[in-house]
Amino acid sequence: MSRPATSKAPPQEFRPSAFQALCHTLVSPLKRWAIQGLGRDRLEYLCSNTMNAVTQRSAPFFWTYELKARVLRRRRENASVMSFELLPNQHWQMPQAGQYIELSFDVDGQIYERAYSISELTDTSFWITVKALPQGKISNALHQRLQVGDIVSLRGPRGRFVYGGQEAITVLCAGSGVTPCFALVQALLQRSPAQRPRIHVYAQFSRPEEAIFVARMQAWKNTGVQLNIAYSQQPEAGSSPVLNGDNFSQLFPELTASSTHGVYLCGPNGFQQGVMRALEAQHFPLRQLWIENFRPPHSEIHSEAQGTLACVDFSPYHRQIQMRAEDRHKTLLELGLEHGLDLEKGCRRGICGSCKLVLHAGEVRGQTLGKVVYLCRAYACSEKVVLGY
Amino acid sequence: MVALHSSELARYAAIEDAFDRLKRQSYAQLGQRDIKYITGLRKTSRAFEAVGRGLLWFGRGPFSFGAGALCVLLHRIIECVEIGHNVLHGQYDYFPEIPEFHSHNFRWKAPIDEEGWRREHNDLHHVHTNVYAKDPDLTHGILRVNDRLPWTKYHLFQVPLYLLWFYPFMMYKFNAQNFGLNQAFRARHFPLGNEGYAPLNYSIEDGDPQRIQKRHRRSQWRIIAKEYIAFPLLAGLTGHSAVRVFLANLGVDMLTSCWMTLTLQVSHFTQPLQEENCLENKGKWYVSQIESTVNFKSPGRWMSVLWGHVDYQIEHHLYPDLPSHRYPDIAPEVQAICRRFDITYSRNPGWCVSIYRYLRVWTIYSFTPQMRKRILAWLPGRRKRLKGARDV
Repeated sequence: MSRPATSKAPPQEFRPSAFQALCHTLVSPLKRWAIQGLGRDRLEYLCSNTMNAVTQRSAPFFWTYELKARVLRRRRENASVMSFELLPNQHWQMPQAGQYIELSFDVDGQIYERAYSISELTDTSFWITVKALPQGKISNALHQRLQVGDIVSLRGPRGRFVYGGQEAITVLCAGSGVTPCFALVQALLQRSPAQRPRIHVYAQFSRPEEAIFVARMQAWKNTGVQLNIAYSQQPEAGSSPVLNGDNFSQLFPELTASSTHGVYLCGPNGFQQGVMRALEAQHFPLRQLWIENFRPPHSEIHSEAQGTLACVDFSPYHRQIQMRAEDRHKTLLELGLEHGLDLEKGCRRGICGSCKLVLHAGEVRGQTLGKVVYLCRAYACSEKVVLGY
Repeated sequence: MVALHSSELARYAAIEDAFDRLKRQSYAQLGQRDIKYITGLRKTSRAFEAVGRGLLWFGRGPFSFGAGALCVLLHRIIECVEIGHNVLHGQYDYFPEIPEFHSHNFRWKAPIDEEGWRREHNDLHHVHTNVYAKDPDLTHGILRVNDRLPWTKYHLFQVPLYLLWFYPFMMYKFNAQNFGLNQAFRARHFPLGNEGYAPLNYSIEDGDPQRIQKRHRRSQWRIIAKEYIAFPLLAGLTGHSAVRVFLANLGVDMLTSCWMTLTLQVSHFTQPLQEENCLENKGKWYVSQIESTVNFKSPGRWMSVLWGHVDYQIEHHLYPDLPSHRYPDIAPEVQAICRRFDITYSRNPGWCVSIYRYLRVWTIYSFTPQMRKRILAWLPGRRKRLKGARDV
């Protein structure tokens, strides 16, 4: 994937020492070579079979059971937004454009987890784009402290906001919601014109100085993408009028009741609700609508209530399952099996221990021992439950 | 399903209660001792490996060959049986300090795919022990150990076939069993196909033959590359004998295979067959596990380690994911519970007796009942002895 030249002047915060720079210059190509040359699959075979104290100490990036990524580059998108290129180790499973990752970051001795959409994909690495919010503890910490060469822990890729195979798609995004949509369209444009759907993109920002990826989106026009960029607070600056209930049908004449278009929607709540109302007014079939929600971090919304409708992350299977009301009384094993996960299972009575997984985050009730959860006898009881090896 | 009588139900409930209480007590004690045990054992195994490989590489003459091979053998046995088999049961999953000994992270120093093993051994054999057409280990490969299983001409040769051909390379054959490849063989060659043999309730790699082959190759290559290529090559390149290292490693590999399979197999009774519904009543399930397994007397704790604590097979089958070194500690209490409820707690006087008894069963069921009758008629003096022999 073509990538524009990085910003000419390095961002203010980035001041690596000469030694750090040297290490990075030496080690980074080696890691890239190991991942590109050997491939993550062979690396996993090699590392898992040679795991010992010596290998773990000498190259903890590869000889580990955790999914880790190294920061390869930083790029400032605008005054408050920065992108980071991350090179994940062999535990990474190649994502589909539009998915997100969950990044763990240590701030003041406490580990925080945040979800970030993948904004760009390459063969071996990916980019995330982070907006520093005024009150955002983690986003500001990432901007200031996450430097080239740093290693971060992550989980993922997750999410179902991926291309569904339609012949034509309409992408509506606003603000930070541009990130997954940018990756989605960018990945589709990698395909040959014959295999590519017709694409219509509407991107909305508040002001031109808040915008991201605009120059690169403008280049999409050359490949036949229909593009509208609008600025809600400076409408005159944009190439397109700002979307509202009245002009929706003029801007998107393709989205009618009989439309076969896929609609991909991501943006702030108000924007999403406005689009939803407009789509309903057009009687657009909502099963063709894909929405990516930016939810508040799970660690901050926590419920003690039993039988909570949790989001259960089966990390080794790269699947996250959102429980529905009818799943409330199902064991974690039943939940996983019903969603098609090939979980190991034996007696289903908590005797044989075949279904055991380790609890990495969240809370469960039922049969547990330390952090070990007997899936066949345990139930989720926090908003988010993360299970792994 | 036959409904249980209320008095039986009460007995099973009491049995369940007793064994569950012992389980809770034992699991409550898990801690640093277990971490120390498994990490210490790994160190011991590595020390044996270093000394053994050093002697084979740099030594000359038969003494260093024998001593070196013995040390490597001890390393391989500890890794295969006590560490590998038990870690894959999830006996050390409870300790976040040692992720390398978690059942899914662990990589076996044996040519066996870990997931295949866990699914066949933990999920099926340990759950449906001795249940006809449900326990895949009861009829491992082509084995026939009871009269209910349809007889084929292959069974006539099962004793020499296993002892001379399968057992020395058994570790390389486990994948075929665990991946369900034996099913295909039996379907092709046995008149009644897989009748009586346990079907697998899982499919590895979605049954894709290419991906299964890849898994199989990878699990074997890590051992072949190390034992038969890397170490002989290193010895050869440094002016020592590559042949000596190769032969020692080959011998050790064969002995490890025999040791592992004989130990795991002979500590099971093949009869009585258990009922399919055992799992519906936990108390009954506990009894079925005790009836299906037999301990054997160990001369000391060190031998128990080399046998992977399978000399305490009863305790292992009752609590498969309890760290194995705790089995000897709980054995007296298990025996007390068995005495209280009048359950037979079987224990052979030794490993060799176990092997002898197991081979006798194999020999008996190599033949159909009619064949056995004819053979017994032909051997009149032995009739009484064979008839009175307990089927183990």
